[in-house]
Amino acid sequence: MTILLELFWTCFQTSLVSFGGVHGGISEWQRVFVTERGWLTAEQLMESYVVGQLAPGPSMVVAVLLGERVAGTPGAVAAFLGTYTAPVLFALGLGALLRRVREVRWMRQVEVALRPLVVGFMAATALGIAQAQWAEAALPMLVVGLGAAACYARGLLRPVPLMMSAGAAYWLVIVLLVR
Amino acid sequence: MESTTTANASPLHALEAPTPEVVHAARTSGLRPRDWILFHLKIGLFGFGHGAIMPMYERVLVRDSRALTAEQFHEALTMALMLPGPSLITLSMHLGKVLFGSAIGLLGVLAMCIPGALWALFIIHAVPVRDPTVHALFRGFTVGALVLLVDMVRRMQRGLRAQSDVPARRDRRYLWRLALTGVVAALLLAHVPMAYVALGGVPVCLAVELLA
Repeated sequence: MTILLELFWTCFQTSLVSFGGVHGGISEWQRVFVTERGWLTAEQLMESYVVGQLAPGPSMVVAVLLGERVAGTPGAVAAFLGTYTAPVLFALGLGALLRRVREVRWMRQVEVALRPLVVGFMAATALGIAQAQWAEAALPMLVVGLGAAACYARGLLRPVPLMMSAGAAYWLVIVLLVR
Repeated sequence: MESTTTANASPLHALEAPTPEVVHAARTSGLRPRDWILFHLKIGLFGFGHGAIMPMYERVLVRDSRALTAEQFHEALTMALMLPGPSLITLSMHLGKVLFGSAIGLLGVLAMCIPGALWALFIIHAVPVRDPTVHALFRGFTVGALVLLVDMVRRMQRGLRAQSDVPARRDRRYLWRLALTGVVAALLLAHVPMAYVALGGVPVCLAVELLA
């Protein structure tokens, strides 16, 4: 029981300090799960991280995998609750904050002034993904990426079918290139 | 209490809408609580490639259903990203609460997070991730997500022109904000931690806004 509470609390704290999503969380998980508690090896942590990146939905799911490694299914549940409680609580207060932002002119201006941080963050995520894909295999990325962009721009595919088709197309390009 | 009602000529006028009007917008847009939960379920089940999720919100709320204006979405996204913690969950819970109430908001979060967690557990136990076919599929999902993300960034940079009626080329504040966006992206790409960029970025952004 103690270990479940510990998992919940660790994941709650990590979730709070994981600024900018999973990349902010990884160093904290490393510190607690590997160095402080010795629950996992660094290799197990990295494997969970990679799989967490492959699964659909929020990338913080890595915490659930770590929890399961440490204490089985109950551990996964404790890590799940710990990770997602903090942002839900934050969101409950966010509405009141946003109402103030709309009503008070200077707060509104502060919000607009901070937008470069947000757009820059999104652009960096996109560029980071593009960089990694380019380094791995440039040609399939170009072919599939341009094809998908053309389909999306013409409104032929909606987001989920777009990703599914991109997956299939990428596989096809790899098969054709190898043969 | 100061209000922004004088800004009628700018895209800002849509922004004064307080929560009840947003709720009204959601109703008139035809977006129902059931759609909200199904949308999250879809992300949790099929939303491979993490970069794609924010663009999916924008697409459903702003472009498809028009439940929110682009400005309202941008505002909520800025605040969610500026708060610590996983911003996707903060954004989802906040928007769900604003549109349909806390219970539906929480159901939306669960509908997205539980399938995602089950998928991750399934993958780690049963999927040969190193297999070339599986590897290629996941890479393809990521390329698809990249397309959605680039499209969103392209449209979001228009939000940098808020509060302005001057043409883009002569809008000094917009050009400064665009330059800052580039600097932020470059720092993050150089692996400077997001927390440092945000902490340092807030005063710089505010100073530039005052001086520009």
